Amino acid sequence: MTYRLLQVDDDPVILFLHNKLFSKYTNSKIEQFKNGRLALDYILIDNGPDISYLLLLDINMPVMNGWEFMDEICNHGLENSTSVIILTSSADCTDLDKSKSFANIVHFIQKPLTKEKIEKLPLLMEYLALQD
Amino acid sequence: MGIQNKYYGWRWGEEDPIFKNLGYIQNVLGYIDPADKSFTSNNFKELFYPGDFDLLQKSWKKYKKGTDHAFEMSYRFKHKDGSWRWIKESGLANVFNTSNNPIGGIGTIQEVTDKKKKYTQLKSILKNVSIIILRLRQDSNNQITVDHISKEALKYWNIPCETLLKDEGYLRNLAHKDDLVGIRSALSNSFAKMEFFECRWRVVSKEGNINWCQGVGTPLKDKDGTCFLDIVITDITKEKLYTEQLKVSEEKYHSLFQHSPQPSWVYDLETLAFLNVNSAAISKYGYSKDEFMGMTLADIRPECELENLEIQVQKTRENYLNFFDGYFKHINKQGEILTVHLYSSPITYNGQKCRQIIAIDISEKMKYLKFIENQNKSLKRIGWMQSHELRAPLVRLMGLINLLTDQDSIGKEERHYINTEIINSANEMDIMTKNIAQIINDAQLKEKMNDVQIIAG
Repeated sequence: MTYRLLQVDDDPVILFLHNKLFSKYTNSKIEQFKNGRLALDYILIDNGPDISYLLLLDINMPVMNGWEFMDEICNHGLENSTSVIILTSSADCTDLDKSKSFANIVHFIQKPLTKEKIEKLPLLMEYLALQD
Repeated sequence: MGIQNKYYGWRWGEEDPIFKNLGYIQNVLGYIDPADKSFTSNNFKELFYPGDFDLLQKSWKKYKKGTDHAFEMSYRFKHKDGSWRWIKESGLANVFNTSNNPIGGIGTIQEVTDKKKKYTQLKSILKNVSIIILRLRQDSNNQITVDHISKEALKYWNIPCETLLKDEGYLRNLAHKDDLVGIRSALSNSFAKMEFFECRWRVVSKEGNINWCQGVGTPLKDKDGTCFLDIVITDITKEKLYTEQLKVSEEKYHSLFQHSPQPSWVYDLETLAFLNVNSAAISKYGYSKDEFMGMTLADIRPECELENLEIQVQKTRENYLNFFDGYFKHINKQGEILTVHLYSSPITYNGQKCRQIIAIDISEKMKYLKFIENQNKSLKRIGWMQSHELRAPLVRLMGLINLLTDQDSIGKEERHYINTEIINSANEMDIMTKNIAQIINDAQLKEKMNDVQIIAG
């Protein structure tokens, strides 16, 4: 079984910060995508019966935003092989309500991601450990 | 009953003239067959209705002793078939002695059973209705006296009528003292000009209750040259009461209509012409009442609304009793367009099918509504910007500052990158906050302009 951790965010500073944080838990580089479209294309090619994904997904992105990406995952029947942690700068409670409508969204976290937040998410910790 | 009147004469010294008419009475009572000997001058008295023969005798004796030269009396006989028949005798003295006393007369005898039956029926009808029939006669001295009054109906009215026929001041029994002058004047006028009499007055019952009545009649000339007037008097208390109530209600309605602070009017559903407008409508639309009276609904609609007006009116004509409300554009005399919330309801006005309209000008309300809607849009936009756009550089800043606390993990190049991004994020936040401030300023400016417009309006 293969466990892949993917980051989807259009902000390079955020991706830089996440890489710095994740480097404390794994030596592997975490895959990064600048929008939902690129992440979806990757999964559609890469996915298989023995692969599970954990995505750190931003909402507001160009080309395909987080919610459009979630709809596509459902359309392709990939809910069971993907778990999603929404990672957003948004303080809009409608986003939180919307996240509850997707069964494979496991957490809704406000940016910035910190060491303390990471360590409170066992699933993320597990994936980080399995990336080596 | 098919038997003609019989004329006869008599001398004053003779016995009761009825005995001259036995053959006539025999026929009336059905003893037609000459062979029938059961009717004789001796037994015919037994055929009188109990008491009627004595009454007849008394009347005849009284007449003979008196100075009255005319007589009239009616009595009843039992017919062969067992029913009662009325016979009337009337006569007049026509032969006088040198002292001018009557010594001979002529008369008629006739059967009046049918007439009596009809009269009895009429009396019975009059007993059950409130109509009083009053015959007044004006003599050569223009004195008006009561000839006849249907006493049956007086019971309904419960007025003191015992002395009515004798009392010259009969009107005092029939009318409230304050109405006497009016009735007398109407009566004299009617007799003088021989014109239709019509008058309304109050009747006071024995208990002091006041009822309203109406008397109508046409004066006629009698054979002897005197005038008489048959007046039909009816109880109009309820009608009067309803009329009063209606009047009060109409006054109330009129007052509500006229003094309503909301513009209101009544229009003819066929011609769309204004039939009445209140003062609020005059003030709101700028037309005088006379101007309104020469206008139709189309005159207070902008041209673009005329088609809508026609459609709406057609719908209302198809369902006249329909109540509806809606939003329409109107135009006043100054050419200003008003947005009105209009309530339409059916009303009968002067007997015509009309509609009453209440038009509430909501132009100012709509301005406020639009202003509040714009303000809400601004607030939503600011909210969205704060939640999404402003937080993006902020979370970046927070993340970068966090990273700076971990000195060991940062290389020289990374430090430079972090510093640059801190500055970029701070600048981005500066721009965002200025944008938000601009939106707030714009909204405040609009509010001020709106205030100015409202004051100017």
